[in-house]
Amino acid sequence: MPARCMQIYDEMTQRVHRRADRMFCWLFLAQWCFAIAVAIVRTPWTWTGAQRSVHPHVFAAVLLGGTMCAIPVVLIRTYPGRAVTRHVVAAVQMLWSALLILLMGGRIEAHFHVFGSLAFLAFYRDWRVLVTATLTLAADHLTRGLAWPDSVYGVANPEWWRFLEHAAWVAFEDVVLVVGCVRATREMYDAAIREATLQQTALTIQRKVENRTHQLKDNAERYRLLVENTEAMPFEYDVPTRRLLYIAPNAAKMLECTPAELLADGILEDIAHPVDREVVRAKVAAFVRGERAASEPIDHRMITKQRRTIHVRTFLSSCSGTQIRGILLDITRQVALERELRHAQKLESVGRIAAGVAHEINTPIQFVSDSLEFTREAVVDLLAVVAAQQQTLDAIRTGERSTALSDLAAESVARADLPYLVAQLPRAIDRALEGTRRVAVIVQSMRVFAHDKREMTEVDLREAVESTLTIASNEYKYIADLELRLEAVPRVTCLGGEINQVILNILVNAAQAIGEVVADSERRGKIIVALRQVEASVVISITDTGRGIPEQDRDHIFEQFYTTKPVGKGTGLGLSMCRSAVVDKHRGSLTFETETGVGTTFHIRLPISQPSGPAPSPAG
Amino acid sequence: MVKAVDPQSVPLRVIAVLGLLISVLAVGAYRCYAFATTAGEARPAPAFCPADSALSRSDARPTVVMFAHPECACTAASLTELAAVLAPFATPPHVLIVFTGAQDPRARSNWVQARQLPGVVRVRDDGREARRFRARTSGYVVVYDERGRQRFAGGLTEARGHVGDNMGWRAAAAALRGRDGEAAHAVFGCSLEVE
Repeated sequence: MPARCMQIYDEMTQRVHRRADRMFCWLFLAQWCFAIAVAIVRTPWTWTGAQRSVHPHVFAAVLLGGTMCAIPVVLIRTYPGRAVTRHVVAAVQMLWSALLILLMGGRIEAHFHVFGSLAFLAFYRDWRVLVTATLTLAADHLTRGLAWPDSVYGVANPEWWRFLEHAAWVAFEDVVLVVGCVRATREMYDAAIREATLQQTALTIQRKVENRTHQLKDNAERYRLLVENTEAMPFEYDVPTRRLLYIAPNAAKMLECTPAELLADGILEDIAHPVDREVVRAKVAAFVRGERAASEPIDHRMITKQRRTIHVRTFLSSCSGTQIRGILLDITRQVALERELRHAQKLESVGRIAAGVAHEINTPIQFVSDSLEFTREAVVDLLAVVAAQQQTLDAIRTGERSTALSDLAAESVARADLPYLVAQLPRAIDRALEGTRRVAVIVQSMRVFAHDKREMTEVDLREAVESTLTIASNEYKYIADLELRLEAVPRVTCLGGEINQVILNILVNAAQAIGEVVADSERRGKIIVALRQVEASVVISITDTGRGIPEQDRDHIFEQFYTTKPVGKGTGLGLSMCRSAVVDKHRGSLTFETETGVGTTFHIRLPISQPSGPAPSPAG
Repeated sequence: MVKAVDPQSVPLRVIAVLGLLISVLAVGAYRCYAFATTAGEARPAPAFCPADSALSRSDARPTVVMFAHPECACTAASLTELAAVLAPFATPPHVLIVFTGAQDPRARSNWVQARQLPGVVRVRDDGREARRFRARTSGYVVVYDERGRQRFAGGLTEARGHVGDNMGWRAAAAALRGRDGEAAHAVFGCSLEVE
């Protein structure tokens, strides 16, 4: 700081000295011109009778004045601002006083030039310059006072102290000027301290600004890299003009077009999927009106320039006026993956159903088989009796009497245990018929469950519930008792296969929840399945007596990939798919009531009829 | 190897040039001094006012006769000093300023300046009066008392064209008061060129 202060001070004094140098440069030239003018006006000629010649004062003005101009001006031009320059200037300026006094004929008024010169020299703000000027003046007075006192003092025989008197008057002015110079110097030093402080402050601020700018640049670069290398694509969209004001560059890559094309007018009309366009537009409008939460994503489809359909998820984050900002995510792979997972989930269900159905069919098939085996043996025995009886009858018809034949017939009857067969054979046939009927029921249930129609149809939900219970009976019948409270309800317009899948998933979850409670014990749980109409909806309620859903899981159970089951037992998609099917595809609701340690009830509410309008999007 | 240079140092050639210029200055100053302090030619004035002079002399007052070149710049200083000499007198002496030379002095600066002096009589002279009074240099002053005796002869300035207190001025003033003093003083002015 002191070093910088001194540097500034030196620069300031240098500026002052140079400015004074320049001023004296012009002053010397002006004095020279003035001296020549004075000489020409006052003493142009010197005479010898009628003969005239140029007065020596004119030569003095031109030559001496020129010399006294040249010396300082050369130094000022060559060494501006140097100490030697201003000291020479000071000395010469005082000699100018002597010359002007001479040219003006020793007029006392001309002596004022001395005091004026000292005042001018004070512009240097260097008291040493005044010392030089004073010493030069003293030397001049001393020399001329001795040689030609009249030219200095205006009297021929001045008193000895006249020199001191003049010196005193000069010193008087010097004191004033020196004090002024010292004060001015001090002020300059104070100003230098202030400027150094300001510069230091400015430097500190500048460094801070530079650091901040650097940080901002780093952040901007980091943000750019983040934006350009992440799947998330921030965007800014103007709703009235339907123009994208900004979108991350990698959106162009996703949509297989150029960044400039993305910012063109009406681009969204081109890239939005025709089916989803109106839905997305309505949701955006709802967001602008503040009717839709920012956290609620919009899943929809887009068409790339190569006419490829991609799935995107849009998060609207903020809205200022009619401009909205948000983030776009390419979820095409995720959608494909979810589709695969859903398929896997269905396959898991199919496997589960297949195992259960196989088990269910196995029992009737077993006793059908046993009955048929019994029937087959009984028929063989009966045929043997019939054959023996036929031989006996033929012998009787031919008139042959044979004890052996009658014994044979009696023996075959006895061996066949005919009374037993008479009693058991009809029952065996009945059992076989019962078995085939039960198999037929299961097969029918499977057919109802499968419900492979992809469009909405009127479905008998009671039949759907019963079918699902039938094919899933293997999941619960060993651990829980089933209680049905199925009321008569109207047929419901729905996707039968999807709803059966929902009932199955919730039923399996109920069975598993009960299984956790009754495991390794003789206890049995209970599953209550209820079906009832509530106003314009039909509600299916499935209650279990499991442990209930833990508090911390209640807000997450419908989220994708959220599961509390052990690894390998659950995909985390079951309830998510159920919610998607009920809420998104049927505009229904899927809710639950649970109590820890008591059990859980899921309510599937489905509108009896679906309202007309655009089909719901696949999700979201 | 680079030599360190003192930023405040001045090269020798500059000092030499400065020295030369200062020498010129000194010579010029000396020449000015010499010119200013070199007195003009002076001869002893007549002890009594010449009787053949056409110039009128006063018997009641001292008479001052100044010879002046009409255009001599140095004489302006002499006229200034003459005014200073005459100023204290309530009854000014009889003053004659004789403009010597062939040309008409009436439009010249000294003629005009002389008019400012109270009671002064300006006289044109073709050189005869100057010869009678033995005047050779402009600014030459002769003081006669009421009886026509010469009391002072010489210049009123200490140098050419230079105003200010000097011995000539004092001597003339003393002569006008009838006191004894220097009877002569050097004259500083242009030559009247009178044979």
